[in-house]
Amino acid sequence: MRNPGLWAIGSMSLVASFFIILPVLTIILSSFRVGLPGEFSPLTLANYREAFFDPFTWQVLVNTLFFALGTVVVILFFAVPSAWLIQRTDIPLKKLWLTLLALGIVIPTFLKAIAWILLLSPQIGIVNRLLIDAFGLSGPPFNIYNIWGMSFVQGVILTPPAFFMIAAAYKSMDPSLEEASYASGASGLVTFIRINFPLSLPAIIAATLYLFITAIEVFEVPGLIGAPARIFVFSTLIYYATHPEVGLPKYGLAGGYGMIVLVLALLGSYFYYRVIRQSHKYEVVTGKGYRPKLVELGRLRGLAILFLLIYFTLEIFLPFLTLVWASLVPYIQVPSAEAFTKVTLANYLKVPDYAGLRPFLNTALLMLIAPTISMVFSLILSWVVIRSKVKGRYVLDGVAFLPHAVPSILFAVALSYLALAYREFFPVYGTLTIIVLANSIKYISFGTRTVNGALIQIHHDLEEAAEVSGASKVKVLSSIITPLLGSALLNGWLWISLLAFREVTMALTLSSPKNVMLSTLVWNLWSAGYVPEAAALGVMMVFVLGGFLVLARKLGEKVIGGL
Amino acid sequence: MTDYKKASLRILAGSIFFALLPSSAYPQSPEEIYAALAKLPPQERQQRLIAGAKREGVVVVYDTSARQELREFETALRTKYPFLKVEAVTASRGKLLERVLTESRVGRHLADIIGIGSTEDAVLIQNGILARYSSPEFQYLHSGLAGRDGYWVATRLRTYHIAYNTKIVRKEQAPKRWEDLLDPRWKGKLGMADDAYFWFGALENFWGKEKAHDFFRRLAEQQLLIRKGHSLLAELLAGGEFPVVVGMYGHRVALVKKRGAPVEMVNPDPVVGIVGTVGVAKRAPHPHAAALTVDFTISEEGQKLNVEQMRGASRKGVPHPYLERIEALRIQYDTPDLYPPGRYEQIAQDYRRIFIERR
Repeated sequence: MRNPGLWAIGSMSLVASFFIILPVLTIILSSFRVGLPGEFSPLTLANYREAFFDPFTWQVLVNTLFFALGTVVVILFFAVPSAWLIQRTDIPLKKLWLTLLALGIVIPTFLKAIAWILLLSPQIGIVNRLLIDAFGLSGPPFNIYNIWGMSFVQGVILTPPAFFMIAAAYKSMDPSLEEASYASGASGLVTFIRINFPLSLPAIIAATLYLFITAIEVFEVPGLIGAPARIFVFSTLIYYATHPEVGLPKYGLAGGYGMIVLVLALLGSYFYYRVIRQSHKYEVVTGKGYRPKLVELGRLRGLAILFLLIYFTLEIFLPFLTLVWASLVPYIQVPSAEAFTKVTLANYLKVPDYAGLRPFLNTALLMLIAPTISMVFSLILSWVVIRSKVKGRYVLDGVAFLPHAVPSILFAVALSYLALAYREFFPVYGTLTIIVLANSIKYISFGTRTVNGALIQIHHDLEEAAEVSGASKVKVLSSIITPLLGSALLNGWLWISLLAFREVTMALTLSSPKNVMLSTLVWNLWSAGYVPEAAALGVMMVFVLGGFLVLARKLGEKVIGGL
Repeated sequence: MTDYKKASLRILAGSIFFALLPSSAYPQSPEEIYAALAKLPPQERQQRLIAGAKREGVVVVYDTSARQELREFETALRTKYPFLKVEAVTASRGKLLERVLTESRVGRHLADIIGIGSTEDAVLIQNGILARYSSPEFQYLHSGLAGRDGYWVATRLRTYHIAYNTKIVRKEQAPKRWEDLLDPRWKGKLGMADDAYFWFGALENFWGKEKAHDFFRRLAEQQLLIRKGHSLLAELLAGGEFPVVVGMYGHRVALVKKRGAPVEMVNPDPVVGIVGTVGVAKRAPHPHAAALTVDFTISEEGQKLNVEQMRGASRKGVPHPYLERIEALRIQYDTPDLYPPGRYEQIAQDYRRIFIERR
């Protein structure tokens, strides 16, 4: 290589790959062993025998695919139109919608799932009760305990990250293409279907794939809503293998199940690579006329607002109100005149006593450091994959997707084991650093998907023009690409910050007295039976994070001039 | 001479040097310290223990109790011994067991006191992780609640009951015996946790495997409403999602009842009991603080704190928080000696097959 800048980029890519591949290899190796990580045992296929020679596993595979597919359909149904509406049309109140999208992520997933049980359970669901009373129905119209209920709740919960991954692509679109479409007499809808949608395809495929894998991996909704209906998915099997009520976790067996997820993820990753390989097709940000024109909604404006309101009612308003209700009453009950007499704020007063200051500090540090590390590496990896001519660069994209392709619990266990084994060289066991590290690595997948989608739209011309004028690669990356990607980078940072805030599986696995997070604290309160207190802390988190979001957006506007 | 030989010689010389030192220069192992302490008269023993704990200043507790409960424990302990700081690592049973085993294997001895559970103690003893420590307080406990070798001591007791929602079920209609749950009128109306393994195991102990499994299989025919975790189960019972819950922790019922929820529990024969145990780590870095803390836990003050947290006391003379006339009940406890390594894995597997996967 001829210049030090390229060296820097290359070596940073290698560092990132090392930190990703090492824990993943540990997981793969552990799937060929029985016993705990690091415990010596000969290599064996026993886990795979137990996982794959059991007909139950195949039934679970079918359930899993249906659940993940249903989830993705729900996600796309909400995320694609709202991304288009917010980014490409003149719909009012954009800042409000964007803030709400980010705010929803703050409520811990398990609390949201429980809120939905309280809303849609056939026995005590508030929505069911209200409908029965209002229309004199003979039975509950909704039942949450089935695969549709699971997919619905999971899909609604996972829409915000999908929205963001897709929105970045809608943000920057060549207006000349749209103008050409309008000039030929096409309507806004036709333009959306023929121009905007195909152009955002890499982003949509990336989001679909990312969230398909997420849906396979997440445990809360299948555990809380699926288990009562005896619908088991891989995440339930992995959960039971790794969280036994008694006895030792079977990480090898969980690893065996995890390998199915890994294979699915890598297959998807290959498909994604086929799309982004033709990246030139999607280059729409050129040197001329960058800021695209907004579509006027006209008479459809009311309908568009209604669509967003329905979504936010499902995603935030209803669960949040349920959470507020649960925080005010001494035990969970359907709202009634009698129940209102029991309302109290006492649960809020207990929270500071249970929490202390440390979880707040730890969480703040995590939210600032993890997304920064993650986005720096994501930018570099994405640039190498999309822009460089390095051979095998698409393998690097597969590597960037790996942390997402292995279940969080196994990823955290592998990191924890590595930290114990190499504690002399890298003393991070039980510290805040290891949780930050875990989140930084884990969300490189999210970061690279986001940056890929935006980077792919920036025309080569811009970089070539800069290089012809004598700018180095590093200069191109810092002076041309980074500012053009400004809003995508900032939003990516913000979302990783929020995802890290909510992350609980890894934080629990890596926890020690010194690194308690708000997310683990809510979980601990809940599982110890401090239910109203857990709800109260959940509500407080929403308010604290709401403040943080407003601040972050204000700051973001100052730095890069608007989102 | 090769480097390898040089190194070996150096190690040999070093070993001889250390072997010739007077034994007091060695840091003593916790078991040696406890053996020496046991020979002293009570008062001197106590002074020596406190002096040692003062030097150490901290006790590291690995425990499955809730963080909030451990905070309350720390407050109580520090009221008596202000110099002692508590560092608590809390996690679920399996996680904590794994952590202790892994840390021990790589030679990282961080824990002073390990409180996982009766069923895990056998594994810990087998792996040489627990030390023998017989506290002078043992004599005040109910019989059978301290290990004869001093590896473990029961500090708190939990019980399993049948619980019901009083708004839906009247007292006289509520099931009284475990067998009453098989009545067809409860079909589709019984809530149950996805992991009530202790309840399963204790009934196996009491009835024998054959009778117990026959009961479990017939119970599984009742279209049980399985829910994840006891928190959710208690809240849903209070909210009326199901009228009756099978195998519900008594303290959880008592807790929501205290908050005003319309719930009640019945005491079938036998009531199933679980003992929460603690043991001192064989390589405890703060052995004096560890012993002092164990003593405190089973002292009258420590046990009263238990009762405030709605758990039964293992010490005689401390009233039970939610069971009246406890002496009239037959309670089947799952003490560690009933559970050799491996038995619980079998129980968990049977439970999952019978109730959860239904195959």
